[in-house]
Amino acid sequence: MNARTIKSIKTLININMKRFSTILPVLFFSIIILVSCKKKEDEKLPPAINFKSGETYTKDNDTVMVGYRLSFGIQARGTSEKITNLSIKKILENGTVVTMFDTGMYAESLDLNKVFYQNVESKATWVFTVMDRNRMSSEIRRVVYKDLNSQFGGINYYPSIKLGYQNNTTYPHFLNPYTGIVYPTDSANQFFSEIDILCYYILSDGTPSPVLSSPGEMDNSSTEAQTFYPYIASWSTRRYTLWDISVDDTPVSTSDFNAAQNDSLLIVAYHDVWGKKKFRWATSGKIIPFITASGKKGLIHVVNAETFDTGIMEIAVKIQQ
Amino acid sequence: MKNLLPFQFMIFMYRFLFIMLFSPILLCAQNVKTGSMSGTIIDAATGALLPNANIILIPSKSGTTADRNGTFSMKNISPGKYSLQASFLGYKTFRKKIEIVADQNLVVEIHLKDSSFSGKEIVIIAEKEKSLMEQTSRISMITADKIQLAPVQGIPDMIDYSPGVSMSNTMGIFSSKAVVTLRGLPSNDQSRTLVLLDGIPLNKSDEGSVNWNLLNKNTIENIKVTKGPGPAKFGSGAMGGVIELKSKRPEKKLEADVSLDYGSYNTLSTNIGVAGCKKDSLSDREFYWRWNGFGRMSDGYITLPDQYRTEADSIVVPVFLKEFNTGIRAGYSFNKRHSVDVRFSYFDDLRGNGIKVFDNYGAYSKHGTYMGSAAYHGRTGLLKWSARIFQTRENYFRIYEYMKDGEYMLYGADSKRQDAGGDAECILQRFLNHEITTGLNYKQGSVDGKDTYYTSTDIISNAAKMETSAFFIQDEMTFFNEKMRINAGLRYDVARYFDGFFNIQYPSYSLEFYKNFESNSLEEKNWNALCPRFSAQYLFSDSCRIYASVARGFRAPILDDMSRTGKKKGGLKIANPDLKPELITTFECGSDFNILKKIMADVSIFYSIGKDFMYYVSNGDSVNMGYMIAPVFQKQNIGKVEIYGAEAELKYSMKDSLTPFLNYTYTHAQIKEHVIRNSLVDSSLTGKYLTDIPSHKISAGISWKNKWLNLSLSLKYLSSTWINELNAIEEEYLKTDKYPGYVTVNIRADKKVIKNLFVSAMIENIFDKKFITSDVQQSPGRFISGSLRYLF
Repeated sequence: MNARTIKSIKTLININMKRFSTILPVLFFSIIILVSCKKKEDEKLPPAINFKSGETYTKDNDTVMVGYRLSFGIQARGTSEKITNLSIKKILENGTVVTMFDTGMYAESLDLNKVFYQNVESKATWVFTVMDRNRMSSEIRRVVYKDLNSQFGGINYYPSIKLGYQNNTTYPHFLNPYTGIVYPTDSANQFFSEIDILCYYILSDGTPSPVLSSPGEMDNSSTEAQTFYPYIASWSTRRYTLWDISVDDTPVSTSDFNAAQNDSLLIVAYHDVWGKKKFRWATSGKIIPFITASGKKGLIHVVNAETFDTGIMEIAVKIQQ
Repeated sequence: MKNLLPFQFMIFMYRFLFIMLFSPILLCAQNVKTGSMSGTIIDAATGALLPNANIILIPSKSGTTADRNGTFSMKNISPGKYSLQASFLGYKTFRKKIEIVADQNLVVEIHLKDSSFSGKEIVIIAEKEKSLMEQTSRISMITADKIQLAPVQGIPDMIDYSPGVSMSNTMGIFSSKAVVTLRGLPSNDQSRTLVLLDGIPLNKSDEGSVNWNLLNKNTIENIKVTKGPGPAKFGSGAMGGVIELKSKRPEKKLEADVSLDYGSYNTLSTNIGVAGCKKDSLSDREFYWRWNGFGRMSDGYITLPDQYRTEADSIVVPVFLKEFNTGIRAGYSFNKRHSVDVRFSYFDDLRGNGIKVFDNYGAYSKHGTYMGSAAYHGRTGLLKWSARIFQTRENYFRIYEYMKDGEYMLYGADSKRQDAGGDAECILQRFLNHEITTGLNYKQGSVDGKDTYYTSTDIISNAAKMETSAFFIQDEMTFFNEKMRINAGLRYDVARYFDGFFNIQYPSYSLEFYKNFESNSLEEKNWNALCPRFSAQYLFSDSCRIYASVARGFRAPILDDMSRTGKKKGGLKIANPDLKPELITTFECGSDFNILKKIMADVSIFYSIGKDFMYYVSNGDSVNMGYMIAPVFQKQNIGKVEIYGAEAELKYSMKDSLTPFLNYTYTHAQIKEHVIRNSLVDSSLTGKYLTDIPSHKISAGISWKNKWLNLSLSLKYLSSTWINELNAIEEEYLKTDKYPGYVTVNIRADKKVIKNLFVSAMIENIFDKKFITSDVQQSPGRFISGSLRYLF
């Protein structure tokens, strides 16, 4: 390697060093910006949740009689992502966790009031949890005690009510479970504000399915009741009954149903989280817990359910007074 | 000069420069005296003239190719001594020392001998490809020419025109899980038909499925569909047969294939392929390479059938797609005896699933698939061998988003699927009248999956591994001057299932029932099976043969059926870790013959009996999933299944430019015996027909190649298929027990516009028949596309 070559290499290095010294700060700042951007992107914060304040809501450490109303107001907001889940659970003194409400959603914020009814447990810690799209969650809690002076309430009992399916022209389709009065189409259009229960018959997943439902079904993403009884669309009040569909997993026995003299069985048999808008496969022999729009819990014993759309369903009803 | 037009002036200048540059060379050349050579190439055994043989003069390396009459000539050869070498596929290379004398023409007659075993000669340099008539099973071959002219876009659609093929999820390019099966096996399960790309299995151990979208039809040389369990070398999974795809190998020094397509639903796709090949004819060294890239995007269409769509279905959206695929392949032949081939490819896609409630893309699925392989081929004397290793990794991600009865659900399924393995094969060729093939193959597949819910707290995990290995030996014997061929094979399969688990974390009320199926260590299982195969055929002439075969096929369960419990359309599918492998024994016979001079016909009939057949069974149980009481399904070994059928095909070879075809397939697939596990809840499937199998299928088509326009027209008729396992009425949408049959007609026209530039137009499903595929999805209907393609 001669001197000329070495000189050329040195010149080249010098030129490159100069370029490098210019590029280096630019590169450095670019990296800083990129890293800081990345950091910002990665920074995920959990959603925020809080109780609403007001006299109507149940407060921390409140004491409530069995069967009385518990009211909770909740506000939540997704911080980094949309809120995708809200769950409400009760933790009992023995550590048992009872899910009261669990639903999916996709919302920036949440503002809702939830009503439950005091059950038989002496102390329950209510946990309200929101989770976002990143699966980050936040929770708030309320402790509620049972009033020691609580007594079980009375019930109304109707041992045989016959309801006709949609194509039955003899029996009425609609029921007021408090009074046991059934309404044919004409009077239903007049007394719609009294109606909590209706029935119809479908083939569900290829299986014959007598269905117990309510006029409010059509307001909750379901069209079957409206299809069979289109006139309910014109009712100004459509009452909404929730049916505990977990009955197949935790059945109430017929002997327990027959033995019930007060509302204790009605209260414990109903699982809030399983309360859905209709009860499919309401076949003969099933005992189905429900809760009406006014918060009255009840049990329906399906005495006989025919499996054709002109048939009838014979039921026995026990409901809180 | 001034009067000349500029264009004429340029021509004049070019001519002038050309003469100036090359005149010294031309002058020199004229001063050198040369000789010439001419001759004919003849089959030493039959005396027939052999066209297209290669002739090389060594050491000059100059050469030529014999014309269609088997004659050749070489001029301007410098005088001297040379080694004349002539070679042709299937014949021993001819070598002779010659001398070229100036101003003289040397006339030679070259007699090439068949490369079959004879006396002391043990070197086989070239090899004849076996024709379809020389293989003792029913094979459909789709050549590159047919692939390019076929009036369909996807490879599965192309295969579906062959007799004996069934297909489901026939949504063309929008199918994310197209299934192609053979010989009456249910076309909702890909795991019974083995699919190979250059010998690499594409079926995933997890689901047995094949992602057909990662195949680029522009890179496929041919597709060979072998029906029935067939040769012993094909094992677990080849119950109905084998679909072998062979990639193109570059032939030119540099070649390129660039195309741009645009079609219905705003579908835009582009393909770029560059390849090259460098051959040294003297040393037989060869290096080739290929790079290919393919991309497609489309707005898609709504798959929920029009007639079942209501205003409430506002969450139903088109199944959009975005996909991208790239691959690189390189190979090197050290000489005629040893060669290696390596490749790597990557595929990425994003496909809408037709529902969007709130989330960014709505419900969608996504694959990220890496494939890598290396192969070695060698031969010496009578022996030929090969070895191959491969690895496929698929990162599968899917977002499920839906609203059912007012309940909103959002969750993601993330599965890491991996398949890796290798095989080795050795063929002793032309050993007396035997060709003995033996080999080993091994594959390990695994899945590591997780369903993460966003609308509830649940995280559900499953994982498992499956190892399959096999040893096989096969002897193909020929008698009576190769007119009779007997193939006897034996295959020993071993399979092991291990490291399986299924669990749920943070269960919410609606999925708490999953805890009933939890297992942190599923029991390891080991199976083995001995599968004999036998076939024989007699070749009366080049166009007439009869054949018969009996074979036993083995298939280990797939990981998904053994380990994963999860949602399935219309219910819940629960894992069955007690699944056993299934066995199918198939008897087959057939014939090929000429009806008239130019009409070739082939007919096959087969009878298969499946034992321990794995099939989805609705076991009568149900689970409460919050928004519905869902029926429970499980893959079970249901007992015996009987499948029989017939295939017939007519081909009319008027001339190369006009190739019509017509084929018919009849299939009967029925459950003969269902072993009831629990009589209180199980519904008997005995006597029920298998789903997704049409009893009748007719395909017909014609291709007409001429100097103005290439035209292809095809028609397909499929009869109705049973919708569900119970052959019961589907109540939600169809209100019937069968998907109706349908006919589709496709057409394609290709034209060479200028040198290397081609345009084409295609209409798939001309009459816009929106038939309903499995899972109650409708086909895209008429799809019109146009393409511009540049090849050099």
